[in-house]
Amino acid sequence: MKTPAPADLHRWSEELARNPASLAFLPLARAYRRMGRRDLAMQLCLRGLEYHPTHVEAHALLALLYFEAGERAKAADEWATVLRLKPGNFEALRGMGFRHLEQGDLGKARQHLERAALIRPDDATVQEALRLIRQREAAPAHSGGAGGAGRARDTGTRPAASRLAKSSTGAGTRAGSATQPPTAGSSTPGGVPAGHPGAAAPPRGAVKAGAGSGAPVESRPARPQSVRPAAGGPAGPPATGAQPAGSPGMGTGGPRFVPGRPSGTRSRSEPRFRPAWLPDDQPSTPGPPRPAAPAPARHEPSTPTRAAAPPSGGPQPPPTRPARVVESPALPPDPTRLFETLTGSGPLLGVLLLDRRGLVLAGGLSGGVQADELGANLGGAIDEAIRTATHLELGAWWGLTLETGQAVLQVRPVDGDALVVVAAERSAPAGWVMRAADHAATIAGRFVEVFS
Amino acid sequence: MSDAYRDAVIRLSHVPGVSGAMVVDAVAGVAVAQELTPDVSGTAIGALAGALFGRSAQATEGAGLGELDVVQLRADGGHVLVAGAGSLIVVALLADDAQIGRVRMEAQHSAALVRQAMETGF
Repeated sequence: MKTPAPADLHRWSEELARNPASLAFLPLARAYRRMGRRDLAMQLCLRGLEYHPTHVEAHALLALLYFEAGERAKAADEWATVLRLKPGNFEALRGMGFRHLEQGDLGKARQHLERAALIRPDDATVQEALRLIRQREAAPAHSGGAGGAGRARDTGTRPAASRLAKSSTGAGTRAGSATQPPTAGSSTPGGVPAGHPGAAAPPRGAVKAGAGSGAPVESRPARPQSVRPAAGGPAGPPATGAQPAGSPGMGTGGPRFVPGRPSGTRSRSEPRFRPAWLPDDQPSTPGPPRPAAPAPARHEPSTPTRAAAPPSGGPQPPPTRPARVVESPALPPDPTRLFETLTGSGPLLGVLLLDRRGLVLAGGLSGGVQADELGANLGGAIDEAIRTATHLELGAWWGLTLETGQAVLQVRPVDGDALVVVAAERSAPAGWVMRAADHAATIAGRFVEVFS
Repeated sequence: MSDAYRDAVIRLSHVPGVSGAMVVDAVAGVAVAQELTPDVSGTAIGALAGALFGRSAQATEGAGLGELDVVQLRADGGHVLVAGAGSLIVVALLADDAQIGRVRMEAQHSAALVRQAMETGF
Protein backbone atom coordinates (compact mmCIF):
# COMPACT_ATOMS: atom_id res chain seq x y z
CA MET A 1 0.00 0.00 0.00
CA LYS A 2 1.54 3.20 -1.09
CA THR A 3 2.17 6.08 1.24
CA PRO A 4 -0.39 8.82 0.88
CA ALA A 5 0.80 11.86 -1.00
CA PRO A 6 1.50 14.89 1.18
CA ALA A 7 -0.72 16.92 -1.10
CA ASP A 8 -3.61 14.59 -0.35
CA LEU A 9 -2.97 14.80 3.37
CA HIS A 10 -2.89 18.57 3.13
CA ARG A 11 -6.05 18.70 1.09
CA TRP A 12 -7.97 16.44 3.44
CA SER A 13 -6.72 18.29 6.50
CA GLU A 14 -7.73 21.62 5.03
CA GLU A 15 -11.09 20.30 4.07
CA LEU A 16 -11.67 19.08 7.60
CA ALA A 17 -10.51 22.38 9.04
CA ARG A 18 -12.98 24.20 6.82
CA ASN A 19 -15.78 21.78 7.46
CA PRO A 20 -15.55 19.50 10.48
CA ALA A 21 -18.46 17.50 9.13
CA SER A 22 -16.57 16.68 5.96
CA LEU A 23 -16.12 13.05 5.00
CA ALA A 24 -12.46 13.79 4.43
CA PHE A 25 -11.86 12.40 7.89
CA LEU A 26 -12.04 8.90 6.48
CA PRO A 27 -9.26 8.99 3.87
CA LEU A 28 -7.21 11.05 6.28
CA ALA A 29 -7.68 8.51 9.05
CA ARG A 30 -6.77 5.70 6.69
CA ALA A 31 -3.67 7.58 5.65
CA TYR A 32 -2.63 8.15 9.24
CA ARG A 33 -3.19 4.49 9.97
CA ARG A 34 -0.94 3.49 7.11
CA MET A 35 1.65 5.89 8.42
CA GLY A 36 1.50 4.23 11.79
CA ARG A 37 -0.27 7.17 13.45
CA ARG A 38 -3.11 5.10 14.78
CA ASP A 39 -3.81 7.46 17.63
CA LEU A 40 -4.55 10.25 15.20
CA ALA A 41 -6.49 7.93 12.96
CA MET A 42 -8.63 6.90 15.90
CA GLN A 43 -9.29 10.49 16.91
CA LEU A 44 -10.32 11.34 13.39
CA CYS A 45 -12.66 8.38 13.24
CA LEU A 46 -14.25 9.20 16.56
CA ARG A 47 -14.76 12.81 15.60
CA GLY A 48 -16.02 11.89 12.16
CA LEU A 49 -18.53 9.50 13.65
CA GLU A 50 -19.95 12.30 15.74
CA TYR A 51 -21.05 13.88 12.50
CA HIS A 52 -21.73 10.66 10.63
CA PRO A 53 -22.87 8.14 13.22
CA THR A 54 -24.07 5.67 10.64
CA HIS A 55 -21.01 5.67 8.43
CA VAL A 56 -20.24 2.00 7.96
CA GLU A 57 -16.68 2.37 6.72
CA ALA A 58 -15.80 4.68 9.57
CA HIS A 59 -17.07 2.15 12.10
CA ALA A 60 -15.20 -0.59 10.29
CA LEU A 61 -12.00 1.40 10.32
CA LEU A 62 -12.45 2.20 13.98
CA ALA A 63 -12.95 -1.49 14.70
CA LEU A 64 -9.70 -2.20 12.98
CA LEU A 65 -7.90 0.51 14.92
CA TYR A 66 -9.27 -0.73 18.21
CA PHE A 67 -8.32 -4.23 17.30
CA GLU A 68 -4.80 -3.23 16.42
CA ALA A 69 -4.57 -1.42 19.73
CA GLY A 70 -5.51 -4.62 21.51
CA GLU A 71 -8.90 -3.28 22.58
CA ARG A 72 -10.89 -6.24 21.46
CA ALA A 73 -14.07 -5.43 23.30
CA LYS A 74 -14.23 -2.05 21.66
CA ALA A 75 -13.39 -3.56 18.31
CA ALA A 76 -16.25 -5.98 18.79
CA ASP A 77 -18.57 -3.11 19.64
CA GLU A 78 -17.66 -1.41 16.41
CA TRP A 79 -18.11 -4.59 14.40
CA ALA A 80 -21.49 -4.98 16.02
CA THR A 81 -22.34 -1.48 14.90
CA VAL A 82 -21.16 -2.27 11.40
CA LEU A 83 -23.44 -5.28 11.35
CA ARG A 84 -26.40 -3.26 12.45
CA LEU A 85 -25.77 -0.83 9.66
CA LYS A 86 -24.75 -3.41 7.13
CA PRO A 87 -25.70 -6.89 8.25
CA GLY A 88 -23.86 -8.46 5.35
CA ASN A 89 -20.46 -6.96 6.09
CA PHE A 90 -18.08 -9.85 5.82
CA GLU A 91 -15.22 -8.50 7.92
CA ALA A 92 -17.55 -7.59 10.76
CA LEU A 93 -19.27 -10.99 10.62
CA ARG A 94 -15.94 -12.73 10.72
CA GLY A 95 -14.59 -10.48 13.44
CA MET A 96 -17.65 -11.03 15.60
CA GLY A 97 -17.61 -14.73 14.90
CA PHE A 98 -14.04 -15.05 16.05
CA ARG A 99 -14.73 -12.85 19.01
CA HIS A 100 -17.55 -15.12 20.16
CA LEU A 101 -15.42 -18.16 19.49
CA GLU A 102 -12.68 -16.67 21.57
CA GLN A 103 -15.18 -16.19 24.35
CA GLY A 104 -16.40 -19.76 24.01
CA ASP A 105 -19.85 -18.84 22.77
CA LEU A 106 -20.12 -21.43 20.05
CA GLY A 107 -23.70 -20.66 19.16
CA LYS A 108 -23.12 -17.03 18.40
CA ALA A 109 -19.82 -17.80 16.77
CA ARG A 110 -21.50 -20.27 14.45
CA GLN A 111 -24.26 -17.82 13.69
CA HIS A 112 -21.85 -15.09 12.59
CA LEU A 113 -19.44 -17.35 10.80
CA GLU A 114 -22.13 -19.14 8.85
CA ARG A 115 -23.35 -15.79 7.63
CA ALA A 116 -19.79 -14.88 6.73
CA ALA A 117 -19.42 -18.17 4.89
CA LEU A 118 -22.52 -17.42 2.87
CA ILE A 119 -20.86 -14.29 1.63
CA ARG A 120 -17.45 -15.77 1.02
CA PRO A 121 -17.67 -19.50 0.89
CA ASP A 122 -13.98 -19.90 0.10
CA ASP A 123 -12.58 -17.95 3.01
CA ALA A 124 -10.28 -20.43 4.69
CA THR A 125 -10.30 -18.83 8.10
CA VAL A 126 -14.06 -18.90 8.28
CA GLN A 127 -14.28 -22.47 7.06
CA GLU A 128 -11.67 -23.49 9.55
CA ALA A 129 -13.52 -21.82 12.36
CA LEU A 130 -16.75 -23.53 11.39
CA ARG A 131 -14.98 -26.85 11.25
CA LEU A 132 -13.69 -26.25 14.74
CA ILE A 133 -17.10 -25.34 16.02
CA ARG A 134 -18.56 -28.52 14.61
CA GLN A 135 -15.72 -30.48 16.14
CA ARG A 136 -16.21 -28.93 19.54
CA GLU A 137 -19.95 -29.28 19.44
CA ALA A 138 -19.62 -32.92 18.52
CA ALA A 139 -17.27 -33.71 21.38
CA PRO A 140 -17.28 -30.84 23.82
CA ALA A 141 -15.81 -32.78 26.67
CA HIS A 142 -12.92 -34.34 24.83
CA SER A 143 -9.54 -32.85 25.07
CA GLY A 144 -8.48 -35.19 22.23
CA GLY A 145 -6.13 -34.31 19.50
CA ALA A 146 -3.11 -36.05 18.17
CA GLY A 147 -1.01 -36.82 21.15
CA GLY A 148 -3.19 -34.58 23.21
CA ALA A 149 -0.37 -32.19 23.85
CA GLY A 150 -1.70 -28.84 24.68
CA ARG A 151 -5.27 -29.74 23.92
CA ALA A 152 -6.75 -28.36 27.03
CA ARG A 153 -10.12 -29.58 28.18
CA ASP A 154 -12.93 -27.30 27.35
CA THR A 155 -14.75 -26.85 30.57
CA GLY A 156 -17.01 -24.20 29.29
CA THR A 157 -16.31 -22.05 32.26
CA ARG A 158 -13.77 -19.72 30.77
CA PRO A 159 -13.09 -18.23 27.41
CA ALA A 160 -11.23 -20.72 25.32
CA ALA A 161 -8.21 -18.54 24.83
CA SER A 162 -7.82 -17.92 28.53
CA ARG A 163 -8.29 -21.54 29.36
CA LEU A 164 -5.70 -22.63 26.95
CA ALA A 165 -3.18 -20.03 27.83
CA LYS A 166 -2.18 -22.24 30.70
CA SER A 167 -1.42 -25.06 28.40
CA SER A 168 1.18 -23.07 26.57
CA THR A 169 4.55 -24.06 27.83
CA GLY A 170 8.12 -23.65 26.83
CA ALA A 171 9.35 -22.19 23.63
CA GLY A 172 9.92 -23.46 20.22
CA THR A 173 8.82 -23.09 16.72
CA ARG A 174 5.67 -24.04 15.05
CA ALA A 175 5.75 -24.79 11.45
CA GLY A 176 2.33 -23.41 10.78
CA SER A 177 -0.89 -24.78 12.03
CA ALA A 178 -2.10 -25.46 8.55
CA THR A 179 0.30 -28.33 8.36
CA GLN A 180 -1.07 -30.06 11.39
CA PRO A 181 -3.24 -33.08 10.91
CA PRO A 182 -6.93 -32.45 11.21
CA THR A 183 -7.15 -34.01 14.60
CA ALA A 184 -4.58 -31.66 15.96
CA GLY A 185 -6.30 -28.95 14.11
CA SER A 186 -5.11 -26.41 11.72
CA SER A 187 -6.30 -24.07 14.33
CA THR A 188 -5.43 -23.32 17.82
CA PRO A 189 -6.28 -25.75 20.51
CA GLY A 190 -8.59 -23.31 22.08
CA GLY A 191 -10.98 -23.54 19.29
CA VAL A 192 -10.20 -20.16 17.84
CA PRO A 193 -9.19 -20.51 14.26
CA ALA A 194 -5.70 -19.91 13.15
CA GLY A 195 -5.24 -16.41 12.12
CA HIS A 196 -7.52 -14.86 14.63
CA PRO A 197 -6.19 -12.74 17.41
CA GLY A 198 -8.12 -14.72 19.90
CA ALA A 199 -6.49 -17.95 18.97
CA ALA A 200 -4.68 -19.57 21.79
CA ALA A 201 -1.04 -20.35 21.94
CA PRO A 202 0.13 -23.70 20.72
CA PRO A 203 1.02 -26.33 23.19
CA ARG A 204 4.69 -26.02 22.67
CA GLY A 205 5.20 -22.32 22.63
CA ALA A 206 5.88 -20.16 19.69
CA VAL A 207 8.17 -17.78 18.03
CA LYS A 208 7.17 -14.52 16.52
CA ALA A 209 7.60 -14.56 12.84
CA GLY A 210 9.94 -11.87 11.81
CA ALA A 211 10.06 -10.35 15.21
CA GLY A 212 13.62 -9.37 14.66
CA SER A 213 15.41 -11.09 17.46
CA GLY A 214 14.04 -14.47 16.73
CA ALA A 215 13.89 -15.08 20.43
CA PRO A 216 11.02 -17.09 21.73
CA VAL A 217 8.26 -15.06 23.19
CA GLU A 218 7.58 -15.61 26.79
CA SER A 219 4.22 -17.11 27.37
CA ARG A 220 1.97 -15.38 29.79
CA PRO A 221 -0.35 -17.70 31.56
CA ALA A 222 -3.86 -16.67 32.29
CA ARG A 223 -3.88 -14.11 29.54
CA PRO A 224 -5.81 -14.55 26.38
CA GLN A 225 -3.49 -15.61 23.64
CA SER A 226 -3.13 -14.10 20.29
CA VAL A 227 -1.96 -15.35 17.01
CA ARG A 228 0.14 -13.82 14.45
CA PRO A 229 0.07 -14.94 10.87
CA ALA A 230 3.19 -16.34 9.39
CA ALA A 231 3.39 -13.47 6.95
CA GLY A 232 5.59 -15.52 4.82
CA GLY A 233 7.88 -16.46 7.59
CA PRO A 234 10.77 -18.65 6.68
CA ALA A 235 9.78 -21.63 8.75
CA GLY A 236 6.35 -22.07 7.32
CA PRO A 237 5.85 -24.82 4.84
CA PRO A 238 3.06 -24.51 2.35
CA ALA A 239 -0.38 -24.89 3.70
CA THR A 240 -2.10 -28.14 3.07
CA GLY A 241 -5.20 -29.96 3.90
CA ALA A 242 -8.01 -28.13 5.46
CA GLN A 243 -6.49 -24.73 5.06
CA PRO A 244 -6.21 -23.82 1.43
CA ALA A 245 -2.95 -22.24 0.47
CA GLY A 246 -3.17 -18.68 -0.48
CA SER A 247 -6.50 -18.16 1.05
CA PRO A 248 -7.40 -14.57 1.73
CA GLY A 249 -5.12 -13.18 4.29
CA MET A 250 -3.44 -16.44 5.03
CA GLY A 251 0.21 -16.67 4.24
CA THR A 252 1.21 -19.81 2.51
CA GLY A 253 3.25 -20.71 5.51
CA GLY A 254 0.19 -20.81 7.69
CA PRO A 255 -0.27 -18.82 10.82
CA ARG A 256 2.08 -18.74 13.72
CA PHE A 257 1.12 -18.16 17.25
CA VAL A 258 2.49 -15.83 19.76
CA PRO A 259 1.22 -15.29 23.23
CA GLY A 260 -0.83 -12.20 23.69
CA ARG A 261 0.00 -9.33 25.86
CA PRO A 262 -2.21 -6.63 27.31
CA SER A 263 -2.33 -3.70 24.98
CA GLY A 264 -1.26 -1.33 27.68
CA THR A 265 2.00 -3.15 28.20
CA ARG A 266 3.06 -3.26 24.61
CA SER A 267 5.60 -0.76 23.48
CA ARG A 268 5.20 0.92 20.14
CA SER A 269 8.34 -0.66 18.84
CA GLU A 270 7.04 -4.14 19.40
CA PRO A 271 5.20 -5.96 16.72
CA ARG A 272 1.49 -5.92 17.07
CA PHE A 273 -0.86 -8.80 16.98
CA ARG A 274 -2.39 -9.25 13.68
CA PRO A 275 -4.92 -11.70 12.40
CA ALA A 276 -4.38 -13.41 9.14
CA TRP A 277 -7.07 -11.39 7.49
CA LEU A 278 -5.74 -7.95 8.29
CA PRO A 279 -4.67 -5.94 5.29
CA ASP A 280 -1.06 -5.88 4.29
CA ASP A 281 -0.46 -2.24 4.94
CA GLN A 282 0.72 -2.42 8.50
CA PRO A 283 3.86 -0.37 8.85
CA SER A 284 4.47 -1.64 12.33
CA THR A 285 4.26 -5.25 11.34
CA PRO A 286 7.71 -6.67 11.04
CA GLY A 287 8.78 -9.66 9.09
CA PRO A 288 9.27 -10.38 5.46
CA PRO A 289 6.52 -9.54 3.04
CA ARG A 290 3.93 -12.16 2.51
CA PRO A 291 4.21 -14.33 -0.49
CA ALA A 292 1.86 -13.44 -3.24
CA ALA A 293 -1.49 -14.91 -2.48
CA PRO A 294 -3.32 -16.34 -5.42
CA ALA A 295 -6.58 -15.97 -3.63
CA PRO A 296 -9.41 -14.60 -5.71
CA ALA A 297 -10.11 -12.02 -3.08
CA ARG A 298 -6.82 -10.22 -3.48
CA HIS A 299 -5.97 -9.66 -7.07
CA GLU A 300 -3.24 -7.09 -6.64
CA PRO A 301 -1.67 -5.63 -3.58
CA SER A 302 -2.46 -2.13 -4.72
CA THR A 303 -6.07 -2.78 -5.55
CA PRO A 304 -7.66 -4.42 -2.60
CA THR A 305 -11.09 -5.76 -3.17
CA ARG A 306 -13.89 -5.90 -0.75
CA ALA A 307 -13.09 -9.49 -0.21
CA ALA A 308 -9.50 -8.81 0.63
CA ALA A 309 -9.55 -6.72 3.73
CA PRO A 310 -11.30 -4.17 5.82
CA PRO A 311 -11.14 -0.62 4.49
CA SER A 312 -7.56 0.33 4.58
CA GLY A 313 -6.51 3.46 3.05
CA GLY A 314 -6.86 6.48 0.96
CA PRO A 315 -9.23 7.04 -1.84
CA GLN A 316 -9.87 3.55 -3.01
CA PRO A 317 -10.62 2.36 -6.47
CA PRO A 318 -14.05 0.95 -7.04
CA PRO A 319 -14.15 -2.42 -5.37
CA THR A 320 -13.56 -5.34 -7.61
CA ARG A 321 -16.23 -7.90 -7.15
CA PRO A 322 -15.04 -11.44 -7.21
CA ALA A 323 -16.80 -13.45 -9.84
CA ARG A 324 -17.56 -16.19 -7.38
CA VAL A 325 -19.95 -13.93 -5.51
CA VAL A 326 -21.90 -13.09 -8.62
CA GLU A 327 -22.05 -16.72 -9.54
CA SER A 328 -23.44 -17.70 -6.20
CA PRO A 329 -26.34 -20.04 -6.76
CA ALA A 330 -28.13 -18.72 -3.70
CA LEU A 331 -29.09 -15.49 -5.43
CA PRO A 332 -32.11 -16.03 -7.64
CA PRO A 333 -32.22 -14.42 -11.05
CA ASP A 334 -35.67 -13.09 -10.27
CA PRO A 335 -35.37 -10.37 -7.60
CA THR A 336 -38.95 -10.83 -6.52
CA ARG A 337 -37.95 -14.29 -5.30
CA LEU A 338 -34.96 -13.12 -3.31
CA PHE A 339 -36.60 -13.79 0.03
CA GLU A 340 -38.65 -16.80 -0.90
CA THR A 341 -36.80 -18.99 1.58
CA LEU A 342 -38.29 -16.81 4.28
CA THR A 343 -41.70 -16.16 2.86
CA GLY A 344 -42.45 -19.72 1.85
CA SER A 345 -44.12 -20.49 5.12
CA GLY A 346 -45.29 -18.90 8.32
CA PRO A 347 -47.16 -15.69 8.89
CA LEU A 348 -44.97 -13.46 6.74
CA LEU A 349 -46.74 -11.16 4.32
CA GLY A 350 -43.51 -10.57 2.48
CA VAL A 351 -40.14 -8.93 2.47
CA LEU A 352 -39.04 -5.86 0.55
CA LEU A 353 -35.64 -4.49 -0.20
CA LEU A 354 -35.81 -0.75 -0.78
CA ASP A 355 -33.16 1.60 -2.05
CA ARG A 356 -32.42 5.01 -0.67
CA ARG A 357 -35.07 6.58 -2.84
CA GLY A 358 -37.76 4.25 -1.63
CA LEU A 359 -37.82 2.15 -4.77
CA VAL A 360 -38.30 -1.58 -4.45
CA LEU A 361 -35.13 -3.44 -5.38
CA ALA A 362 -36.24 -6.94 -4.58
CA GLY A 363 -38.85 -8.97 -2.81
CA GLY A 364 -42.56 -8.41 -2.66
CA LEU A 365 -45.56 -8.26 -0.37
CA SER A 366 -48.78 -10.20 -0.41
CA GLY A 367 -52.07 -9.61 1.33
CA GLY A 368 -52.93 -6.50 -0.63
CA VAL A 369 -50.15 -4.44 0.88
CA GLN A 370 -49.11 -1.58 -1.38
CA ALA A 371 -45.39 -2.18 -1.64
CA ASP A 372 -44.60 0.86 -3.76
CA GLU A 373 -46.64 3.08 -1.49
CA LEU A 374 -44.93 1.68 1.55
CA GLY A 375 -41.49 2.18 0.03
CA ALA A 376 -42.27 5.71 -0.98
CA ASN A 377 -43.48 6.74 2.46
CA LEU A 378 -41.13 4.77 4.64
CA GLY A 379 -38.19 7.02 3.83
CA GLY A 380 -39.76 9.83 5.82
CA ALA A 381 -40.15 7.60 8.85
CA ILE A 382 -36.54 6.50 8.58
CA ASP A 383 -35.40 10.11 8.38
CA GLU A 384 -37.26 10.77 11.61
CA ALA A 385 -35.80 7.67 13.20
CA ILE A 386 -32.28 8.78 12.36
CA ARG A 387 -33.00 12.28 13.60
CA THR A 388 -34.38 10.91 16.86
CA ALA A 389 -31.46 8.57 17.43
CA THR A 390 -28.98 11.32 16.67
CA HIS A 391 -30.63 13.93 18.86
CA LEU A 392 -31.01 11.57 21.79
CA GLU A 393 -27.42 10.45 21.31
CA LEU A 394 -28.47 6.84 20.94
CA GLY A 395 -25.89 6.12 18.28
CA ALA A 396 -26.69 4.33 15.08
CA TRP A 397 -30.20 3.00 14.57
CA TRP A 398 -30.48 -0.61 13.58
CA GLY A 399 -34.13 -1.39 13.68
CA LEU A 400 -37.58 0.10 13.43
CA THR A 401 -40.77 -1.74 14.28
CA LEU A 402 -44.16 -0.53 13.14
CA GLU A 403 -47.24 -2.30 14.46
CA THR A 404 -50.70 -1.75 13.09
CA GLY A 405 -53.99 -3.49 13.58
CA GLN A 406 -53.28 -5.74 10.63
CA ALA A 407 -49.55 -6.20 10.43
CA VAL A 408 -46.18 -5.71 11.99
CA LEU A 409 -43.30 -4.31 9.99
CA GLN A 410 -39.67 -4.76 10.86
CA VAL A 411 -37.27 -2.40 9.13
CA ARG A 412 -33.51 -2.87 9.03
CA PRO A 413 -30.81 -0.76 7.44
CA VAL A 414 -28.81 -2.58 4.80
CA ASP A 415 -25.50 -1.44 3.45
CA GLY A 416 -25.86 2.03 4.85
CA ASP A 417 -28.49 3.33 2.50
CA ALA A 418 -30.86 0.53 1.66
CA LEU A 419 -33.64 -0.88 3.79
CA VAL A 420 -35.14 -4.27 4.22
CA VAL A 421 -38.76 -4.41 5.36
CA VAL A 422 -40.30 -7.55 6.71
CA ALA A 423 -44.07 -7.56 6.94
CA ALA A 424 -45.90 -10.14 8.99
CA GLU A 425 -49.40 -10.73 10.17
CA ARG A 426 -50.20 -8.96 13.39
CA SER A 427 -50.60 -12.27 15.15
CA ALA A 428 -47.04 -13.34 14.35
CA PRO A 429 -44.79 -13.66 17.40
CA ALA A 430 -42.79 -10.47 17.77
CA GLY A 431 -39.50 -12.20 18.45
CA TRP A 432 -39.94 -14.47 15.47
CA VAL A 433 -40.56 -11.52 13.18
CA MET A 434 -37.45 -9.81 14.51
CA ARG A 435 -35.36 -12.86 13.75
CA ALA A 436 -36.90 -13.15 10.34
CA ALA A 437 -35.90 -9.54 9.76
CA ASP A 438 -32.33 -10.33 10.76
CA HIS A 439 -32.24 -13.17 8.26
CA ALA A 440 -33.76 -10.98 5.60
CA ALA A 441 -31.17 -8.30 6.27
CA THR A 442 -28.41 -10.83 5.75
CA ILE A 443 -29.85 -11.94 2.45
CA ALA A 444 -30.45 -8.36 1.43
CA GLY A 445 -26.94 -7.33 2.38
CA ARG A 446 -25.55 -9.98 0.14
CA PHE A 447 -27.82 -8.97 -2.70
CA VAL A 448 -26.82 -5.33 -2.33
CA GLU A 449 -23.17 -6.23 -2.19
CA VAL A 450 -23.43 -8.06 -5.47
CA PHE A 451 -25.74 -5.77 -7.36
CA SER A 452 -25.25 -2.31 -5.96
CA MET B 1 -53.50 17.99 33.46
CA SER B 2 -55.55 14.84 33.77
CA ASP B 3 -54.54 12.50 36.57
CA ALA B 4 -55.01 9.69 34.10
CA TYR B 5 -52.22 11.04 31.92
CA ARG B 6 -49.98 11.52 34.88
CA ASP B 7 -50.77 8.05 36.20
CA ALA B 8 -49.98 6.59 32.80
CA VAL B 9 -46.51 8.10 32.59
CA ILE B 10 -45.66 7.31 36.19
CA ARG B 11 -46.73 3.73 35.74
CA LEU B 12 -44.73 3.37 32.58
CA SER B 13 -41.64 5.11 33.92
CA HIS B 14 -41.46 2.65 36.81
CA VAL B 15 -41.01 -0.34 34.54
CA PRO B 16 -37.44 -1.64 34.77
CA GLY B 17 -35.34 -0.39 31.90
CA VAL B 18 -37.52 2.63 31.21
CA SER B 19 -35.61 5.85 31.76
CA GLY B 20 -38.46 8.20 30.97
CA ALA B 21 -42.04 8.36 29.81
CA MET B 22 -44.26 11.01 28.29
CA VAL B 23 -47.71 11.64 26.92
CA VAL B 24 -47.42 13.85 23.87
CA ASP B 25 -49.83 15.54 21.52
CA ALA B 26 -49.16 13.58 18.33
CA VAL B 27 -49.78 16.42 15.93
CA ALA B 28 -48.24 19.33 17.81
CA GLY B 29 -45.42 17.28 19.30
CA VAL B 30 -45.77 18.95 22.69
CA ALA B 31 -45.73 17.21 26.04
CA VAL B 32 -48.97 16.69 27.91
CA ALA B 33 -47.44 14.78 30.83
CA GLN B 34 -43.93 13.63 31.42
CA GLU B 35 -41.75 11.76 33.85
CA LEU B 36 -38.17 12.29 32.76
CA THR B 37 -34.76 12.57 34.29
CA PRO B 38 -33.49 16.14 34.55
CA ASP B 39 -30.90 15.69 31.85
CA VAL B 40 -33.47 14.83 29.21
CA SER B 41 -35.31 17.47 27.24
CA GLY B 42 -39.01 16.72 27.16
CA THR B 43 -39.52 19.35 24.50
CA ALA B 44 -37.13 17.66 22.10
CA ILE B 45 -38.39 14.17 22.77
CA GLY B 46 -41.97 15.25 22.32
CA ALA B 47 -41.23 16.84 18.99
CA LEU B 48 -39.10 13.97 17.73
CA ALA B 49 -41.47 11.25 18.87
CA GLY B 50 -44.43 13.07 17.37
CA ALA B 51 -42.69 13.37 14.03
CA LEU B 52 -41.53 9.76 14.10
CA PHE B 53 -44.99 8.46 14.85
CA GLY B 54 -46.62 10.76 12.32
CA ARG B 55 -44.36 9.77 9.45
CA SER B 56 -44.59 6.10 10.35
CA ALA B 57 -48.38 6.30 10.46
CA GLN B 58 -48.33 7.91 7.04
CA ALA B 59 -46.29 4.98 5.70
CA THR B 60 -48.47 2.21 7.13
CA GLU B 61 -51.78 3.84 6.31
CA GLY B 62 -50.61 4.58 2.78
CA ALA B 63 -49.71 0.95 2.31
CA GLY B 64 -53.13 -0.16 3.43
CA LEU B 65 -51.92 -1.66 6.68
CA GLY B 66 -54.31 0.27 8.88
CA GLU B 67 -53.86 2.57 11.82
CA LEU B 68 -50.47 2.56 13.48
CA ASP B 69 -50.41 1.30 17.05
CA VAL B 70 -46.77 1.17 18.06
CA VAL B 71 -43.43 2.36 16.74
CA GLN B 72 -40.22 1.13 18.24
CA LEU B 73 -36.86 2.59 17.30
CA ARG B 74 -33.84 0.50 18.23
CA ALA B 75 -30.42 2.05 18.32
CA ASP B 76 -27.03 1.30 19.79
CA GLY B 77 -27.59 3.32 22.92
CA GLY B 78 -31.20 2.52 23.67
CA HIS B 79 -34.70 2.33 22.33
CA VAL B 80 -37.63 4.67 21.89
CA LEU B 81 -41.09 3.19 22.00
CA VAL B 82 -44.11 5.20 20.91
CA ALA B 83 -47.64 3.91 21.34
CA GLY B 84 -50.60 5.60 19.71
CA ALA B 85 -53.50 6.77 21.83
CA GLY B 86 -55.80 8.65 19.49
CA SER B 87 -54.54 12.17 19.06
CA LEU B 88 -51.99 11.56 21.78
CA ILE B 89 -49.03 9.27 21.91
CA VAL B 90 -47.31 7.57 24.81
CA VAL B 91 -43.52 7.67 24.62
CA ALA B 92 -41.09 5.51 26.55
CA LEU B 93 -37.31 5.85 26.56
CA LEU B 94 -35.63 2.49 27.12
CA ALA B 95 -32.17 1.35 27.98
CA ASP B 96 -30.72 -1.02 25.42
CA ASP B 97 -31.00 -3.91 27.85
CA ALA B 98 -34.59 -3.22 28.83
CA GLN B 99 -37.11 -6.02 28.93
CA ILE B 100 -38.77 -5.01 25.71
CA GLY B 101 -41.71 -7.35 26.03
CA ARG B 102 -42.80 -5.94 29.33
CA VAL B 103 -42.28 -2.36 28.27
CA ARG B 104 -44.36 -2.92 25.15
CA MET B 105 -47.14 -4.35 27.21
CA GLU B 106 -47.04 -1.52 29.73
CA ALA B 107 -46.84 1.12 27.02
CA GLN B 108 -49.90 -0.28 25.31
CA HIS B 109 -51.71 -0.42 28.62
CA SER B 110 -50.78 3.20 29.30
CA ALA B 111 -51.94 4.14 25.83
CA ALA B 112 -55.27 2.47 26.52
CA LEU B 113 -55.61 4.43 29.76
CA VAL B 114 -54.84 7.68 27.96
CA ARG B 115 -57.27 6.90 25.18
CA GLN B 116 -59.95 6.08 27.72
CA ALA B 117 -59.29 9.32 29.59
CA MET B 118 -59.61 11.28 26.36
CA GLU B 119 -62.87 9.59 25.49
CA THR B 120 -64.34 10.33 28.89
CA GLY B 121 -63.59 14.00 28.50
CA PHE B 122 -60.35 14.62 30.32
